[in-house]
Amino acid sequence: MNKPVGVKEKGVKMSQHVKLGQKNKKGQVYTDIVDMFNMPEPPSFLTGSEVIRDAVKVASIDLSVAYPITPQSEAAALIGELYAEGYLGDYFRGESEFAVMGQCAGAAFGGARVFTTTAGPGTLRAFENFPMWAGARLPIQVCVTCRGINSPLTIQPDTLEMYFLLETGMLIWHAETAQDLYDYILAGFMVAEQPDVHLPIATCCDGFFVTHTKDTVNKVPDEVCLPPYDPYRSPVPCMDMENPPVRMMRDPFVMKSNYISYSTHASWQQEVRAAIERSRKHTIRILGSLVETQNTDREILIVASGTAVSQSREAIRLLEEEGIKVGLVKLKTIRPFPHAELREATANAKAIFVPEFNLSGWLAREVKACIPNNERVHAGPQVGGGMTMPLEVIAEEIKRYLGIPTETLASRGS
Amino acid sequence: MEYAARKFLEAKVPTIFPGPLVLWKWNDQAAERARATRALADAIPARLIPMADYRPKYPVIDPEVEINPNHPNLTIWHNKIDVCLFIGVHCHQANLALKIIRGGTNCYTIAMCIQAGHEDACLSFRDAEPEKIFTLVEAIKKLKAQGVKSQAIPFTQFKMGRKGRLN
Repeated sequence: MNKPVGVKEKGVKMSQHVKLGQKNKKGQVYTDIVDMFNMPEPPSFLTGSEVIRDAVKVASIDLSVAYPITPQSEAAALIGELYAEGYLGDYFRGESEFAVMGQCAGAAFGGARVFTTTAGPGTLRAFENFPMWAGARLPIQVCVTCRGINSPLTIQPDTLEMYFLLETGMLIWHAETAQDLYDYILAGFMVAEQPDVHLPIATCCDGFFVTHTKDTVNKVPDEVCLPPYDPYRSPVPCMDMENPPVRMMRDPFVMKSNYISYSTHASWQQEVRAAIERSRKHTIRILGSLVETQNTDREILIVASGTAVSQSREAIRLLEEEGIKVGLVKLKTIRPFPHAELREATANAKAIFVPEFNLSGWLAREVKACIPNNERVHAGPQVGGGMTMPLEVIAEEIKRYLGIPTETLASRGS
Repeated sequence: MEYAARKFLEAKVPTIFPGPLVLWKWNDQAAERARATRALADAIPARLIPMADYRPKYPVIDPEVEINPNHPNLTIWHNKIDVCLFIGVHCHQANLALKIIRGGTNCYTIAMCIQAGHEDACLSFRDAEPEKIFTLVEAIKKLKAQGVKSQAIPFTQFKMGRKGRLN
């Protein structure tokens, strides 16, 4: 499976029960995603919530299940409006996030392309279902608008929940901007539904910073849409109560034979991890790369994902004005983690800073685990619970490393 | 193609594991693929151990007539299969079985896949339309015409009835 896969001239496996160029009931033309991304449209000025709606509009989604939790409630409600306009097969509100994810699973087992959103405590409420989706090989997309975890309760952005998601077996992509979020939602379906991947995907963005601020976004025309999901390309049989994976829910192997249970669990877990690895080539073909880099020949680098990248860009500009040169590595995907790209990008760096919007420093740990000479990695700055990360804070962390005196920032001693 | 043909002819217990995607006539292409699989089995000649579904085999597997994708090594060990081919098996189950066979046995695995192929197989075909399977059949016949003899141990293909084995 290291060779490129393709359907004749197209690079991405797609449904074969419709043809590219056919129209759906809304008159949208089924189009290859790479061609969609190359269709020029005048830029729009949209919030992240609106961008989620507009991506869903052209994603040929069969079902979206909604549950309100800040900051994704607006996006979920806007998707409901799309349903009223006829762009979705079905839409309803679940009883809780846990119910929502179970309902998504049922629909995906039945062959639907499913989209949902959640955040913070909602993600944790739903959590049992995420590894279930992965083990059942259900290519559901959940947009996680990262928000702080209780207690204390906060609705503000914090990426701690992404740390909890790391070993669920889902693909995890982290959008920096509304543009990223739009692209990742569309690309996410195409990658997740590949037969050799076929995993759920969490497209993460930082709540409020992305969802509630307006940004310039290049969308695809509303007249085109993704090809629909073809359940017959699933690597497991379509919903079948007698056969795994559904069989394993109602009649787990452990009830009959521990030996088979051990063997099954080990092999299914390995297979899910292998599927994550196999997603790399598809992601690279559509998104171009798993990372973005700037000036990685410099001795000081910042490695970041999500909105921390935006802050880092500004901090780099500020430092440049003072003659301090810093490079940048933006991680687009957290699972699969771009090990090879990160090792190559950081090969020359003497110091690597990892700013994060969480206090656990999980991204710094991932980076440390990946690269040689990881004493070069400085975890921080870290802010939690929704605090902003001013560029001055990032700049000050780097200057302190360089031994350059800085002005005392508020709340810090001299 | 010729390499796969040679591996089959060198094998003492060549075996084909057809999966539900060729065993059930869920579309016309499945029927064509099934015909091609039968032609391949006859050409080698290879044993056929079908995998009509992925249900766990209870209370205990009969490894001469069935294979469990979560525990394929039992079938491989019992029958001393040295070369096997998976065809018409859903990719997930095929990946599992190929991983376990590669990890636990000396069997040479060949995957005949309609999609992207399988990295865990020793030899993997991709985009395996019926024509490709018939091409493999022709390759085997060509080698036989050149004097290459099948090393397969003589066997009687079992037949299954509704209540179990018929022979």
